[in-house]
Amino acid sequence: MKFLSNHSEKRKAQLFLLFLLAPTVVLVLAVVAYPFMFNVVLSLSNMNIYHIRDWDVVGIQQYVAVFQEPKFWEILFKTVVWTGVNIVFHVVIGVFLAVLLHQKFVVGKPAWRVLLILPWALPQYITALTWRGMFNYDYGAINLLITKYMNLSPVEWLTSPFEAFAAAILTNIWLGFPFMMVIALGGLQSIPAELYEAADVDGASPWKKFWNVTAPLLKPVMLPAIILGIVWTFNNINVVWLVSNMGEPNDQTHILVSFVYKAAFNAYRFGWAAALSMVIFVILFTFSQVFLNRTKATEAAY
Amino acid sequence: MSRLASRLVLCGLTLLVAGCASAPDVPRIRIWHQKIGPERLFFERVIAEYNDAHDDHVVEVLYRENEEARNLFVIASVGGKGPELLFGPSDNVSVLALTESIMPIDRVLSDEYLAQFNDEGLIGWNDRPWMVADQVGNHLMFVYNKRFIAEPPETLSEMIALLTELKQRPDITYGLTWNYTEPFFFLPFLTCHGGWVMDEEGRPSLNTDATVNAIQLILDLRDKHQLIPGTTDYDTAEATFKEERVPAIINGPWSWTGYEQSGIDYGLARIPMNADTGLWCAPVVSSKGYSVNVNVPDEKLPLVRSVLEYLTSPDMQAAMARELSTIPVITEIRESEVMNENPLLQRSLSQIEVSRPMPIDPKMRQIWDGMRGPYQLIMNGAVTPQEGAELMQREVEKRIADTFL
Amino acid sequence: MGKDANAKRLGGIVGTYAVLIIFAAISIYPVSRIVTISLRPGDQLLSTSLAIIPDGASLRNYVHLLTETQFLRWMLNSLLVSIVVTVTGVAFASTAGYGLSRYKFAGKGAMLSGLLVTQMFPATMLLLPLYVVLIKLHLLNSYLGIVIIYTATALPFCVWQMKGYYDTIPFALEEAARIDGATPWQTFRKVIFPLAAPALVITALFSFMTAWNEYVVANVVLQDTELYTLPLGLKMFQGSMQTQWGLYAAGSLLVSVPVVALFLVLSRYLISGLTLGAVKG
Repeated sequence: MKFLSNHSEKRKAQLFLLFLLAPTVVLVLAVVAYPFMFNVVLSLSNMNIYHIRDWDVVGIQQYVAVFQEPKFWEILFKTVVWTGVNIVFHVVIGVFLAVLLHQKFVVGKPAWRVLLILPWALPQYITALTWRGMFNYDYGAINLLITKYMNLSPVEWLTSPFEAFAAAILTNIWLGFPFMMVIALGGLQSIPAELYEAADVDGASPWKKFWNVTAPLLKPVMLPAIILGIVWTFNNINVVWLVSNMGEPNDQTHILVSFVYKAAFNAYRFGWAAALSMVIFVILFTFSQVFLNRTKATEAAY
Repeated sequence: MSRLASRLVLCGLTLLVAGCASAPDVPRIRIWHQKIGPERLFFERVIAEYNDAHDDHVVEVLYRENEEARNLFVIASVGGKGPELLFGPSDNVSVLALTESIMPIDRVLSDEYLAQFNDEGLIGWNDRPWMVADQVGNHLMFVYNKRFIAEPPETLSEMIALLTELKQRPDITYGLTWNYTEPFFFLPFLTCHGGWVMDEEGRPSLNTDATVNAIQLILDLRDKHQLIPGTTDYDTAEATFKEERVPAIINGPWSWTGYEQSGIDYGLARIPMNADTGLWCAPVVSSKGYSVNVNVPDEKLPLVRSVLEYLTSPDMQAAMARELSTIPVITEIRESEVMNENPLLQRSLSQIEVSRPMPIDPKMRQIWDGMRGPYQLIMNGAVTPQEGAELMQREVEKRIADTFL
Repeated sequence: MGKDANAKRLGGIVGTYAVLIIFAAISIYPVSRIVTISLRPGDQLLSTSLAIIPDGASLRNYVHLLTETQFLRWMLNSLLVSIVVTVTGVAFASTAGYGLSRYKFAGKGAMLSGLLVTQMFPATMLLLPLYVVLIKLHLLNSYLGIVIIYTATALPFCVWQMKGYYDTIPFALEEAARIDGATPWQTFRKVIFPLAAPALVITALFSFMTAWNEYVVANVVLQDTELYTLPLGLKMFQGSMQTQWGLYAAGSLLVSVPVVALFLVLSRYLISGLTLGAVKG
């Protein structure tokens, strides 16, 4: 930094930096490092129900098996769709609601905020199952709405593969938008009011103001949420699992991570599950590096 | 703000440390179980009585849902830990024994003690007993609402006739319902056509005429007679029966208390017989019992034995039969007067008499999992009977092959 | 022209409220179904009736939950764990985020993406190795183990979030403080930290939620019902076929009360009005 003039001050700054970073680095490494290395080894092993105690490292055969799994590419595709659709809706709805709520004239802001974070506040285990009930063919609220008020024919939400997947996505959109809204609400606070005033003087439209003022200044705050949102959604087993009741119909509503779960804890194929986990990890890692480079998120806005 | 924060941290850390130091000084015998409803209350009561009577060791119980209990038990056991005892259904035994998570039960209990149990009471695998049961159950039955049905049907054709007539009523939407998502509910239809999930050598045997006929029967009920819903799952089936829109449901003992609480005057009967084959629609039944963690040290075995002999004793099984209507697996109690005291127990027993025991075989996990998807397609009317049978066989075979990877 | 602008403004107001009402309704409706389940007798998840107050409604489940289960105990446990995780999370993330925002050093980019990397591995596969480690460290059945794991789980996002927010605060503020003779710690503590209130709120809320609703790890680590946290306690009402839906729903609603309360308290700071414009001016 530019105000570091002499040697001892530089040392002091280094110590200060160490003090700032060390606790986080130590804690995170302590929890993550060993399990990760363990999984690398496991993914090269033959650990399955017949070799759960006496497993050996056998090479890359589990990786070969992962790519030979006939459903792998189809499920990867579904996972990408699942992640993409969810995150786009989370961010668009979240930012949109935050911008609306941020307007000066809105009264009762605390009440609106609380109502809108409810989907985040309740445990997923119950809300996801409630949504499953709402998608019920005969009795669900959604089909009732569709048939009574929109005059359309009822949809077989949970028994057709495409609709069941859509139902899981709709549920997860509902669960996820409040989080993005809260992040955006926080980010909006850092935008100086005079920037909007200046834009008003120029006669900018609300849309223009959003793209020229709001969006660039929200970016540093939203980016970590978006990138981690993608990672979390990619690996979010709960919602798909609960809404589709473990992959109904006919295991056609899986994402990659539910395959990991099934392999590990339904069939005790730990080696294969670890190899699939590594594949997931590499996909997400590659994606995040590209994403970070494109968006320059590791660099400062100023 | 920062002073408050540091105080909170300090206070929290103190509590954290305090929270860890709660271990009693007498040996603990921990049991993971999955008893629910009245059975859980009974269990907790008898454990409390046991603890009152013993001061040199203490029994602690923890409820864990079946799948989770088994998975965590295997993980814990591989790590050298875990509870001393695990209570669960007999299907777990092969997985637990294969992963060396449990020890043979005859290392803990004497031959004289074990001799009291009938075939359902001792669960063996690979020529050793691994589990000692306190009941046999999980039997699906034909549950009917007495408001609509006075005399339960004996045969499938009687059932179809009766339900078709009932369906004329405006307040009835379907004649019969059950869970469309778990193949466990398919097996009664398979057995009454002479089929079974595996052959004598333990190979999956699903692509058979029996499977095709079973699927055809279900599709007829669904499309030709329109007696069962087009789609449903466990919770929907429950809701329609409890709201008296469907006069009959196929379900097991775990559900009966709920019907009582919902004010349904329900009756229990055997799932009907297929008059064409002369075979009853036999559900799969499994015993439920205790297995001992392989990591229990020798010096603790006498304590474990004492707990086990208490929980599976003839007296205990008689008390359970009386209070909980569970079916005892000790020969002496099974033949005693206790069995005649309680009508619910007798209904259950009549179904158990025409049932198939759950195979003790690690392949069963792959069989259930492989059957699940095709079963759902069948129930949705998405495949023909032939396709359904072929698909089941193929999916099961693939999963079994995969486990060796 | 003025009339036109007014009409536009009015349109904006009406439109805003319309959208807010629609989304509030979408948020509330499923929650109202859970209220219904919690009031219904006979443990039924689904119903063909859409009435919010079911037939035979009673508060039986709530009474049972509060008097005959260890629900309050679990809630205290969860509060303890979550508060410790929140305070540690805020302390660590606010400092680490500051270091990553303000200093240039070798390996900074690697550290930032390294934090992200920790989130990329499917959590299910971490169970087995974590369990083995916890046994070796004698951290089974203790809160220390889960507090460490939860904090480490929440930190990557929180650090990034803090760093992103600090990035929007101009350097000029620190330089002014330094000219006044403040040490780096004083500059951080007195100038920058308060300005980051909105991000601190998000960090606190996120850390709290990470610990509050976590189930998988707690399920492996905690073995005594006395030590159970809320999600573990609630799961005890669930069986493979038969679930006590009434208790489960009532418990879930009560579980969300502290979250909503916390959000109400914190969200004051989320819009503290302490915008940078005001400070700079």
